[in-house]
Amino acid sequence: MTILTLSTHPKFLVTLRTLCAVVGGYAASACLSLLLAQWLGLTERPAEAFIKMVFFVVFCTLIIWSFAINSHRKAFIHMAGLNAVVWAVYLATQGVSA
Amino acid sequence: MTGSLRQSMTWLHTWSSITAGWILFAIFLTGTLSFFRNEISYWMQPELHQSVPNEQSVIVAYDYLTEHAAQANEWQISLPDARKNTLDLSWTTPGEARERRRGPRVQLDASTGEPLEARQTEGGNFLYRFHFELYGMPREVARWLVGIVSMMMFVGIISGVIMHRKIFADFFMFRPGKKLLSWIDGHAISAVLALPFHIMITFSGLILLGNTLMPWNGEGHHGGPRDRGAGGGDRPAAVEVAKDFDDNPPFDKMFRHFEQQWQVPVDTLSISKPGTNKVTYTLGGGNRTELSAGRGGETSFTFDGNGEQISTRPANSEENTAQAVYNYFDMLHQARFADTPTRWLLFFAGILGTIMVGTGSVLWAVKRSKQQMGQFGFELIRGLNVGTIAGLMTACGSYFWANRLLSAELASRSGWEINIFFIVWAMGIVGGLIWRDRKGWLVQLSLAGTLFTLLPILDSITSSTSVFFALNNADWMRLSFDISCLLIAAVLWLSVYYLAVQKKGRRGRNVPASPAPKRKVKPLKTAGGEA
Repeated sequence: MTILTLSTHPKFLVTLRTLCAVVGGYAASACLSLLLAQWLGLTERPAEAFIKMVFFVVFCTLIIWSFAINSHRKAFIHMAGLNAVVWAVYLATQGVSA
Repeated sequence: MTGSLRQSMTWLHTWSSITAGWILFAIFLTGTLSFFRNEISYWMQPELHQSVPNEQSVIVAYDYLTEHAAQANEWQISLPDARKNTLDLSWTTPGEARERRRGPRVQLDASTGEPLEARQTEGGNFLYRFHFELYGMPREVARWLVGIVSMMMFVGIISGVIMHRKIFADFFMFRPGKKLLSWIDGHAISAVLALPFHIMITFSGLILLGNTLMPWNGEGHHGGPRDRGAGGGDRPAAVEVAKDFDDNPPFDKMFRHFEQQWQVPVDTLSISKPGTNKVTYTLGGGNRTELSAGRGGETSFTFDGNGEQISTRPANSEENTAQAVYNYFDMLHQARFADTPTRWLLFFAGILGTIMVGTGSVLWAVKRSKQQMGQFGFELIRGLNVGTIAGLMTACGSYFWANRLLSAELASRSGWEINIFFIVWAMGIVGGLIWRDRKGWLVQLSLAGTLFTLLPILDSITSSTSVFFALNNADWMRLSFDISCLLIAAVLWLSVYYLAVQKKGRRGRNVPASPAPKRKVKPLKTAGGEA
C-alpha cells in the first residue's frame, strides 16, 4: 500500500480524524482553560476547580465542533490553527508574567 | 464528518457510545445502586437487622460508654437515623499511639445495647468503588478508563441531542408495536425524560475524575502549595482522671432545644471530657443549610454539663464562586444532600440512564441485524450485549445471594462474594457470545429475574429476623431493598415477556428466520448516514 492510497483510505482518515479531535481537542481545551483561569485571576484551589469544570465543557465542544466540520482537510487545519493560536497566546502571557 | 451536521452527529453519537457502551452500562448500573449504598450494606449484614431504634437509644449508648470507655477523653455517638438502625460508638483515649487514627469503635443494638458482630462483607461499597475504580487493576489505570468512557458518554449525550431532529415532537410520541421504532422510543424516552440528570451526572463524574484526567492541573500549579491546615500535635499522655457518672446528662433538654430549632432529629452526639465537670455535649443533625462548601454544611450546637447552649458551629460556606460551583456538582453527584424522596428520584433517573445505555447498545444491533448478520464484528457486539447487560444483572443478583449463602465465618468471605460476582458475569459473557439470539436474552434475563424475585424470601430465611419482623418494626432500610428487588424483578420479567411475545408474533407473521446474505462492509466514508 503506497502512502497515497493509505492517505485516502477511509479507515485511516477516520482514525486520523478521531486522533485530531481527541488529541488536538485535549491540548486546545487545556490551554484555553488555563488561559481563562489566568485571565480571571484565579489561583490555587479555585483555579483548579474552575479549570476542571471549564476543561470538560470546552473539550466536549471542540470534539463536536471538530467532527461537525464538513471535510477532513478543513478539520485538521482548523484544529491545528486553533492550537497554534491559543498556545501562542498562552506562552506569550507566560513570558510577560515571568 | 463529511455529510450534513446531523449525519456527522449521528455518526459521532453512534460510535462514541457503542464502543464505550458495555462499560458505561456497568458504571451506570453500579453507580445508580450506590445511591443506596448504606441500605445495601445494611441488608448485606443481617446480623444488624435485630436492632430496633427507640427513644432510649441515646441512654443505651451512654450506659455502654460509661461502662467500657470511662477514661476516654471524647466519645462519639452516631445515633440511628433514616439510613441507619444501629448505634455506632467510638472514643479516643489519651496516650494512644498517634498512628492509630481512629480509636476503638463498636456497633450496638439500638435497644438492648448488645454489641453486634456483622459478617465480613464489602456490601454496597463494592458496587460504589466499582463504578469509578472498577476492580482488580491499578487505581489510576481504572480511573483513566472510567474517565475516558465518561467523556465518550458526555460527547454521546450532546451529539445525541444535536442529532435529534424533533426532540420535542418525538418526546410526545409513542409507537408501540413497531419493533424498530419502539426500541428507538425506549432509548429516546429514557434519554430525554432524565436528560438534565444524565448531563449533570456525567459532567460531575468527569470533574470528580479531573485530578486523574488532568495531571497538569494538580497541586502547586497555580501559585504554590495549598495550605492543608496545621497538623495536630501528639495526644496528651495518659493520666488517670477521677470520673463521676452518677448524674444522668440532661439529654431531654438538649435534644428538645436542638430539635425545636431545626425541626430535624439529632443524629450525632459527641461528648468531650465525659464524667468531669468540664463536660460539653455537641449535637448535630441533618440540618444542612449550605452546599457551597461541600461537606460541613450542617450547624451544630454545643451545650455545657447543665444542658445550657454555650456555642454554635455554623455551617461552612465557600466564598469563591468557582470553588462553590465545583462543590455543588460534587454534592449533586454524591447526593449528599438528598432526603428519601430525592434519593429515590435520583435512583429512578439513574435507572433511566442505565436503560438508555442498554437500549442504545441493543438498538445498534437491531438496526444492523438485516445487513450485517453473520459478520464477525456485528456478532461480537450482539453477544457482548447479552453478556454485559443481562449478565451483569445476573451477577448483581448472585452477589446478593452469595452474601447470604456463604458461611458467615468463611475466611476472606467478602473476597468470595466479589469473586462470585465476577465469575457469574464472566459466565454470562461467555454464554452471551455462544447464544447471541433471543434465546440467549430470554435465558439470562429469566435467570436474573428469578434471582431478584426470590431475594426477599432468601432475606427472610437467612436473616436473624424475618421480613415480618422488619414490617412490624418499620425497618424501611431493609424493606426498601426487598421492594427494589421486586421492582427490578418486575422490569426483568417485563423484558422477558416482551421478548417472548415478539418471538411469537414474528413466528406468526412467518418472517424468515435465516440471516440475510452477507454483504461487503460499507466503507466508512459514508458512515454519517450509516447509523
